[in-house]
Amino acid sequence: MATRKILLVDDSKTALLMERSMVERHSSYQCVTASNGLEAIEKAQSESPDLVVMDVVMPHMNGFEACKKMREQEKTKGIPIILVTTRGEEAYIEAGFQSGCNDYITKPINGQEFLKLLQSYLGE
Amino acid sequence: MTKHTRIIETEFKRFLGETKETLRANPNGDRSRAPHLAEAVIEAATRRLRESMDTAETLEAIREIASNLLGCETMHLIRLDRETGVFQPFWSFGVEPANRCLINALEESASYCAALGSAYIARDLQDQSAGGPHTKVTVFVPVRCQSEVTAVLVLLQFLPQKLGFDKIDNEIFRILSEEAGSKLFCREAGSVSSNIPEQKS
Repeated sequence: MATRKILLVDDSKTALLMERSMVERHSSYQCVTASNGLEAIEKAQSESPDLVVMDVVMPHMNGFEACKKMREQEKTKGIPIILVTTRGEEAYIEAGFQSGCNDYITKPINGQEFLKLLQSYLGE
Repeated sequence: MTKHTRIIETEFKRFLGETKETLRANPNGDRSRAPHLAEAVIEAATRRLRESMDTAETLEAIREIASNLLGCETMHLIRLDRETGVFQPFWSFGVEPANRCLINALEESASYCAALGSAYIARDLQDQSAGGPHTKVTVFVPVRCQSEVTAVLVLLQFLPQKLGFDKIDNEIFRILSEEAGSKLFCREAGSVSSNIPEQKS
């Protein structure tokens, strides 16, 4: 099976370390990372990932704005986006789906559920 | 013990056994059921602390670990003066750093934690009547330098979606206890508090 590329976006080094470590335990997934929304848009353009996993509260550009921008651009509008955040309030979840995300999950994440979700977008 | 707080457990292991009674089951499930993925969490916390270069970065690592891996965004690190047994504010996130009233309220439980030498969990009795998902817990984590408890990290408020604890949480408390202390308090004297970042929330 071809390798699938995942763009992980978070301003927290801890979150990136953990998500990367979880994802790369799956032999057919590879990761690229970004630490804010602006960088995420650039990497989504240049790397053409199969999936974006993105934090919401970040400097320079937050996850909602980055998600909207990706949906506006031809090259990135079809990439599935999962928002991963500590913010579990109804208003945030609604804003997440309005920005165009496909899924919204809250931290702290459960590794098993997280990988199942990735597999649902990328296949086994 | 403070008026509004009582220790419901003295050891984390006992708390795990009582979780069903005190908190609703964690909707995200028990993370320790997948050992290889649990390793990823442990590895991330350990690496982040070990690779921190100075006091400011270690404190940022503590904040990130508490927020991303434990589900807590309000915390206080209080340092213990071994000679007087008095706690002094060292750093905080989400609360006023020099809030003496808060430190006074936490002091007795923090002393207990320091004497116990392991993390323990207390529940706020004011919230007990409400029950349900918003039951408030406070976690006390001893922070060690060369096996001696030199500070206590108080995790004050957990996110609403954090409704229970699993073995990984316990392991993260242990990592915070061992790794954070050696980074913060085992450096050369004088450099410890020279670059503590401004509190942000």
